[in-house]
Amino acid sequence: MGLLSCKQQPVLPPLFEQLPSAQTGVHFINRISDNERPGILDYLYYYNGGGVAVGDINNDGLPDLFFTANQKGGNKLYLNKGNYHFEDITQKAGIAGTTDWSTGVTMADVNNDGYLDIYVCAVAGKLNLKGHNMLYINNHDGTFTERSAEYGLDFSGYSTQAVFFDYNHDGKLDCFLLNQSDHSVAVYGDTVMRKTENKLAGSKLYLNQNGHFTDVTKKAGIYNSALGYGLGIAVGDLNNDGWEDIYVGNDFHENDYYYINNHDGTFTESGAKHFNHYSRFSMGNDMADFNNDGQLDIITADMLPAEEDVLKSYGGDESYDQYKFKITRNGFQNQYSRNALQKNMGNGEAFSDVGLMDGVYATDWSWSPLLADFDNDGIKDLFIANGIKRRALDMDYVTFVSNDQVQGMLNSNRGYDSVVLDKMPPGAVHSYLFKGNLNEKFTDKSKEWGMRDPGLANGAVYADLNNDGRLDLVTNNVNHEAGIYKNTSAKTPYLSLKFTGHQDNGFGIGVKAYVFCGGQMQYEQLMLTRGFQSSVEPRLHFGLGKNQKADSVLIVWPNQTGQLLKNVKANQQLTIDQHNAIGKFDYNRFFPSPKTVFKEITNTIYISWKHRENDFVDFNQQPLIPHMLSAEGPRMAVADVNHDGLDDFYICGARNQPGALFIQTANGDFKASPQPAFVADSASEGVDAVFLDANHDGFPDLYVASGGNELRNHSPELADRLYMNDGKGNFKRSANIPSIKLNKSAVAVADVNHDGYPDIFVGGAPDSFGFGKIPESYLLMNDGHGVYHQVAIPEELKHAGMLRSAEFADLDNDGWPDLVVAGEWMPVKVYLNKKGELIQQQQPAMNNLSGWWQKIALADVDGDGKIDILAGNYGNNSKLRPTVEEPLKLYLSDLDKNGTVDPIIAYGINQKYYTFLGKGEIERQVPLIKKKFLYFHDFAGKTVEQLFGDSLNDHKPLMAASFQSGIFYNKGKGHFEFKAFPASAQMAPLFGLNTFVAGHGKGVLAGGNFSGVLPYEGKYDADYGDVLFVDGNRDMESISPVLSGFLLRGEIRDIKIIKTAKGIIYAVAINNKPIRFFKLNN
Amino acid sequence: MKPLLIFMVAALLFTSCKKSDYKTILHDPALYSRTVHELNRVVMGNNFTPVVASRNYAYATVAGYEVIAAGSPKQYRSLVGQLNGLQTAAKPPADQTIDYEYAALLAFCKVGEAVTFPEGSLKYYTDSLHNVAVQHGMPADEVHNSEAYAKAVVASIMAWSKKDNYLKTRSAPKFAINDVPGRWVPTPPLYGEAVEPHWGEIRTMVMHNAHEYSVPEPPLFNVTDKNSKYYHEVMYIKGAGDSLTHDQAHMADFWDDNPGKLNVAGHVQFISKKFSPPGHWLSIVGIGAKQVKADFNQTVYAYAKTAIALFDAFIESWTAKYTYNTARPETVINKYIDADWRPHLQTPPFPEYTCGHCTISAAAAEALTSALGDNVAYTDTSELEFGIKSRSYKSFRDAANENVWARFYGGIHFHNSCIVSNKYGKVVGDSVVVKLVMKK
Repeated sequence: MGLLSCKQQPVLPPLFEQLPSAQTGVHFINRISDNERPGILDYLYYYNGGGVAVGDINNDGLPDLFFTANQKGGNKLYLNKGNYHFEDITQKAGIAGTTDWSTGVTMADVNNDGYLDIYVCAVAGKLNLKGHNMLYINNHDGTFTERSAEYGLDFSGYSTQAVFFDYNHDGKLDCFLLNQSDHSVAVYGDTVMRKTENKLAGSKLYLNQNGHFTDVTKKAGIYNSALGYGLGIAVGDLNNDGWEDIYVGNDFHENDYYYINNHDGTFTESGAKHFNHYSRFSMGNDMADFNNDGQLDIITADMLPAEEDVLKSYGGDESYDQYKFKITRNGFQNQYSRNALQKNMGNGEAFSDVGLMDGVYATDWSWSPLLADFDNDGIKDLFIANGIKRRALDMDYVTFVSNDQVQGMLNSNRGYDSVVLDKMPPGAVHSYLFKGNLNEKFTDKSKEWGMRDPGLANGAVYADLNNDGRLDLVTNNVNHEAGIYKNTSAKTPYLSLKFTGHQDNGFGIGVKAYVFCGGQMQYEQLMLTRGFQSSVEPRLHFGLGKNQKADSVLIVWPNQTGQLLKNVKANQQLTIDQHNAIGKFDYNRFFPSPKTVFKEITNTIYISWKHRENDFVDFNQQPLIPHMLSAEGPRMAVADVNHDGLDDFYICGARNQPGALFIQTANGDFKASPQPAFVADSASEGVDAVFLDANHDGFPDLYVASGGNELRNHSPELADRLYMNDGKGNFKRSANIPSIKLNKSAVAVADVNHDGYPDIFVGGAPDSFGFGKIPESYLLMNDGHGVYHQVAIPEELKHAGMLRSAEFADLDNDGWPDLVVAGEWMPVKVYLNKKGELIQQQQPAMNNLSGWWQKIALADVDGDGKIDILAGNYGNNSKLRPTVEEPLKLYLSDLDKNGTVDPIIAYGINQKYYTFLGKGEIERQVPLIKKKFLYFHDFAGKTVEQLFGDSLNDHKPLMAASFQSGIFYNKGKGHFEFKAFPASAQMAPLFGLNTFVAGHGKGVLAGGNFSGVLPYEGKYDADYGDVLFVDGNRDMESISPVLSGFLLRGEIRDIKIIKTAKGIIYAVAINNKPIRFFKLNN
Repeated sequence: MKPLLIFMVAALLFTSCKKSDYKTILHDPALYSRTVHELNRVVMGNNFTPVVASRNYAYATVAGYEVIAAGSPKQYRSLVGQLNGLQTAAKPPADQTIDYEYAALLAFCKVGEAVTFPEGSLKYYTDSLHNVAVQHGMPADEVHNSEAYAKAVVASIMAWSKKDNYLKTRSAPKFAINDVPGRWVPTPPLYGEAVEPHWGEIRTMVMHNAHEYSVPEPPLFNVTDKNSKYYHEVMYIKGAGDSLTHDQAHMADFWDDNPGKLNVAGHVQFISKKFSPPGHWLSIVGIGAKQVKADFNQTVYAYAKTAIALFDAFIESWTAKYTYNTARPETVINKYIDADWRPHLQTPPFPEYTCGHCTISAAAAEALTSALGDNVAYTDTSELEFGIKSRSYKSFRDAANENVWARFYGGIHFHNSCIVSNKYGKVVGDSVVVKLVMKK
C-alpha cells in the first residue's frame, strides 16, 4: 500500500505466484470443524482433507478443476475460462455431492465417449456416515449424471481414491479402488490378518466388462483386509515388462504393497522381495522417473518434522526391542517415519530409499508428493503439500493433556469436549518445493519458489492452467481457500504431449513417452491418479532445458505398439495418435542390457554354512550407544593351509557359533574342515582373523581376534586365539600369545621388525559396559620362536581410536610394512614403519576427514605402483550427515554423576548443536533431563549447551566430519589425496571392499548395509553391492547392481578374493546369512 | 489443585486478621494429609511409575516423621539406626523454639520434590505455607528456626537416599525381549518397555535385602496340557473376564490405579491418569487418620510407616517379577486362545508374577493397622476425583483382601499370583510392624 520502505532489499518474485480468489474466482474451501461429530477422536482420518482433479471436461482446450470437500454437498467444479479465471458451475453441473463424507477424486473417461467423467470417493458405513462412491458421467453440456450403480462402482465403505487403468490390456479401463481402514491401532496383530476380507475397509479391483465393473479383487490376488490403511496409490510399469504394476501406501504398521502384474489378470504382492523398508505412516505418493534413468521411482510422504523444535516434541521414541516386537516380529516389513524416495535400481528388481541423502525425507505432516518439472530444465522437481489441522502426536499432548479435561471427556456421553482438542497444538506448515538436480540431489527451494506461508494443504495437482508451457499448482486446503499457484518462471523450452488412443481408451491412459534430448532421456507414463486423493490431466509434460527440439520421442502404447518421432520441435502441444503406431515394442531390444561384469556362482559351491548372529541388543546394555557394535561379522581370512596350491578360507563365527574352515578341493569346490579347537571356543565371537606362519614351519597358522561388545572386560571369551596348523589340516589352540580379555575389532599381520617372523597388530574396540573411553590397541611381536609378547608402542598408536579395521602394506616402497588403521570418531591414520618403529604420518587433509570408518583395504587401485587406501565409511544416506564445517559431535560426560558415561551425539544446524536423540531416549538413561525439562516443548529446539550446560565440560567431544566412502590415493612421500566414491556407493555404510580387474578395466567392489541402529535412525539397507570402474583420471563410474551381476542383499561384512583351480572368485560374507560367491563374467 | 486453592483462599481470608492462630492452621492433621495429597498430584502429573513413586513417598514421609520424632521424643522414636543405611539425622538445636509441625510439613515437601522431581515443583506450595506461618503470627525467629531445622533434616534424608542405588540403576541394562514361550513381552496399546527391571537392586529400608522373603515359583508355563495348573489359571481369568458383573468391574476400576493409561484413536493418543497404587494407599492413610481422629503426630507417623511398607513391598514384588519374567494373561490368551480377548483394565508394562498391587496393598494394610488400629471401618473416597464411585471397608485388611480380586477381575493378574502376593505382602508389612519401633 505504498508503505514499502526504499531501504528494503528487492525481493525476487517467487517462481510460483499464489493468485487471489478475487482474480481466479476459485473460492472453494474444505471446511472442517473441531466441534462436530464425527471428529478426530472417533474418525482417525478426520483431518486428512480433500482432493483435486484437473482435466478438460468440456474439451475446450483448458483444464478445469474439481475439488472435494469432506462435508456433504461441498464439492465444487470450476470451468477454466482462460487466463486463470474460473467459473463455478457446480450447481448447474449437479455435482456438489450427496454423500456425507467425500475423500479422493479422479477424472477418467469411464464410458469412453471422449469426455472426462468424474469419480468421487466417499467414506460411509460408520459413525452414521451415509452414501457411496459417485460416478458422474459427463453429459457433454456442462452437466453430469451420477451413474455409479449402473456401472457397478457404487461401492459404499471407507474409500480413499480410485485409479482407472487397463490392467489386463484388453483395451478397456479397469478400476483399482483404494480403501482405508478403521481397524484399531491399539493392538498390533500380525500379517495373517491380510487374508481376512473386510467389506468396508478392503481395497477393490474391478474389471471393466463391456462397461460394467466387476469385482475381481480376490481372484486377482489383491489384499482386501482391515489391515490396509490405504492412503496412497500409484500405478505404473515399475519392472519394465510392459504391464502396469500397483504400489499402495499404507498408514500405520501395515507396510506398503507392491503388486506385480502377472500379465494374466492377476497380481502378486512382492514388496518384501524388492523393497527393504517403507515410510511408516505412508500417506500420498507419486511414481515417476526422477533421475532420468528410464526407471519409474516412487516417493511416499510421511510426517517427520523438519524443524528442531517440532521434531523433538513429536512422538516416536520407540526402543529397538519395542519396534521389533510391534513391527517385524508380527511379520510386517521395516518402516520408518520419514518420506521415502525409492530409487528403482533397475526393472523394479531392487529399490533403494535415497530420501535421506537426496534431502527430501523430512517435510513434516505431508500429503501430496508430486514429481514434475516445474522449471523446465529437464529434471523433475518435487512438490509436497503439507499441514495438519492439529498435531495429534505432540508428546506434551499425549502425556500431559490436562487430566481433568480428559476425565471429563471420557466420562461424558455428550462427546468430545473441544477444550481437549484445543490443547492439541496446531500443525499448519508451508508446503515444500524441491528443485531436482543432475546428481539426483534435491535442493529445498520452498521459500524462493513461493511456498512460504504455513497452510493446511492436502490434495494437490500440477497442470498447465493457461497453456503457456509451464506447470502451475493447485491445492485443496482445510479451512482456507484453494491454492492456485501460477508458474512465473522464465519461458523455457518444453514439450506437452496429448494422446489419442484406441477406441476403448481414448486418452491413452498407460502410454509411455521417452524423450531424448540434450544427451539425456526423460521418461513418463500417463497415469492420472497421483499424489494424494487427486488426479492430473491426461497430458505428459517435459521440460527441454536449453534445447529447442527433442532429438527423438519414443511412444509406447499399452498394447506395446510404438512410434518414434524424430526432431520434435519444442514449445508445442503435440497430439499423438495410436493409429500411427506400429509393430511390437520390445523393451529389451530397445534398451539392451549390457553383458554383466560378474556372475554369481554360489549354487556351484556346496557350502551349507551360514553365519548365525546371536540375539543380543546393545541398546539394552548401553541405551545411548551410537549404534550396536555386536553384529559386525563375519570377516574372512584366506590362505593355502594345506599346501596344495589352492586357497582355503576361514570365516569367523558370531557368539556361540564356531568359526569355520573350508578347504578347497581340486575341482574348485570347498569342503568344511571340522576343527574341534574352533568348536571349543565357540562362546567367543570372532571379529577378525588372519593367517600367519607364526612358527615358521611353512604352514599358515590362524589368529582370531575376539570381541562382540557384549561381555564384561576380563571375561575369558574375550581372549584372542592363536591356532597352530600341524600341516595335516589340524589346528590346535596355542598359549603363545598374551591373553588380553577386552573387546577387539581388527587384526593385521606383518613382519614389522624384519626378523623373518610375522608380528601382529590388534585393534581395540569399546568396552561393552563403558562406551566412550578410547580403547587400547596392541602390537604383539614374535620372539623368533613363535611366541608373542606385547611390546610398548607410541601413545598415538596405542590409543589410536575406536578402531574397526587395520591393515599392513608398504605404502612408501621402502621395503618395510606400514600400518593403516581406521575406526569411528577418528580419521584414517597412517603409521610409517621406520626400521621397525611405527611412526604416525600426520596429514592435515586426511586428519580432517574423521568419520565412522568401517573398513579399509590396501591396494594399488590406479596402477601407479603405489598402494592406495580403499576406505569404507558410513555413507551419506543417513539422518546424520556431518560436514567438515559442521562435524558430528559425541559428548562423553557423566551427566547425572552416577559413574556411567552418558554418550550424547549432537549435530550442527547453522553452527548450533542439537542432540540427535530426543528427550524420551535420553531421559531413559539420564533422569536428570526430566528433572530439568518436564515438558517436551521445554527440551525441543534447545542446543546441547542449553540442555546440559556445564555438565558437558569435562571432556572434549569426539568428532566425525565426513561419512563419505572413497579412496585415499597414494601420491608418494606419505601423502594421500581423497576421492569420494560416486553417490551410488554412498547409500549405506560399507563394510566389504576389494578390487578387481576385468579385461582392461580396473575397479572396486564394495558392499555394506547396517541394521544395528535405533528405529529412529532407521536401518541402512540401500546398498545392493557396488561395482565401480576406475579410469585413468581416477574417476569412478558405477554400474547399477541390477545390471552388474553383483546384486547383493543383506548386510555385507567382507569381500575376499580366493584363487581357485578355475580362476579367481570373490567370496562375500554377509551377516546372519550364507556366504555368496561371484566370478568375473568373461 | 482444588484443595490447594481452597487452602490459599482460606489463607488470604485470614491474612487481614493478624491473629496469632498459626497453630490452628499448621497443626491441623488434615493439613498434613492435604499436603501429601498435593505431592500425590504432582507425582501423577509428572508421570512417575508406581515403583518410583513409592520411593518419592517413602523418603518424604520419613523426613516428616523424623521431624516430629525429634519434636516429641517421649512419644516417637527416630528411625535412625532402624532403617537400612540411615545412620544419622539432624537434631534440633537445644536452645531454639521450633514449630515441629511446620517443620515436618516443609521437610516432607522438600524431600518430596528433591527425590526425583522437576526442580521447584512444590515451591509454590512451601511458599504459601511460609506465608501462612508469617501472616498468622508465628514469631519470626520461630519461622526461621523451623525452616532451618527442616532444611537440616532434608539434607540428612537426601544424603541417605542418594546411597540407595537409584541413580546407579538408571544406567543398568534394559529388559531384553526374546521369544521364549511364556516370557513377558510388551503389551498393547503402549507396548512399553519393562518398567524398572533392576528395582530389586534398590536398598530396602526394613527387609535385610530384596531376597529375604522369596516367593514360590509360579505355575510352569503350559498351554498344551489342559490339566496343568497354568492352563487352569489362564482359563479361570479368561472366564472371569468374559462374565464380569457390574460390581466386579467396579472393584477392578476402583483399584485400577493406573497412573498412565494410554488412550489411542488413530494418530490421536493421550494418557489419562489416576493416582498410582502407592498414591491410592497414601490417600487411604489420610482417610483412616481422619476416621480415628488421629492427631498431627500420629498422622505423620501413619504415613511414614505405610510408605516404608509400600517401599519394601515394591522391592519384594519387583524382585520376583524379574526373577520369573512371566507373561501377562492378555499375551498368553491372545496368542494361544483368543486373539481378540482384552482385559478389563489396561495391562501395565512389567512382568505378571507377582502382583505388585496385591503385595503393596497387603503390606500397607499391615502397617496401617498397626498405626491406626484394626477394624477401622471407612469409606474410601480416593477415586471420586477420577469419576469412580467410593467403596466401603470393614478394615484396612479388608481393603487389601478385596484388592486380590480386583487385579484378577481386571484381567491383568492370574488368581494364583494375587493370592501369593497378598500373602507375601503381609509378610513384608509385618516385618515393618515388628522390626520398627516408632510410637512408644
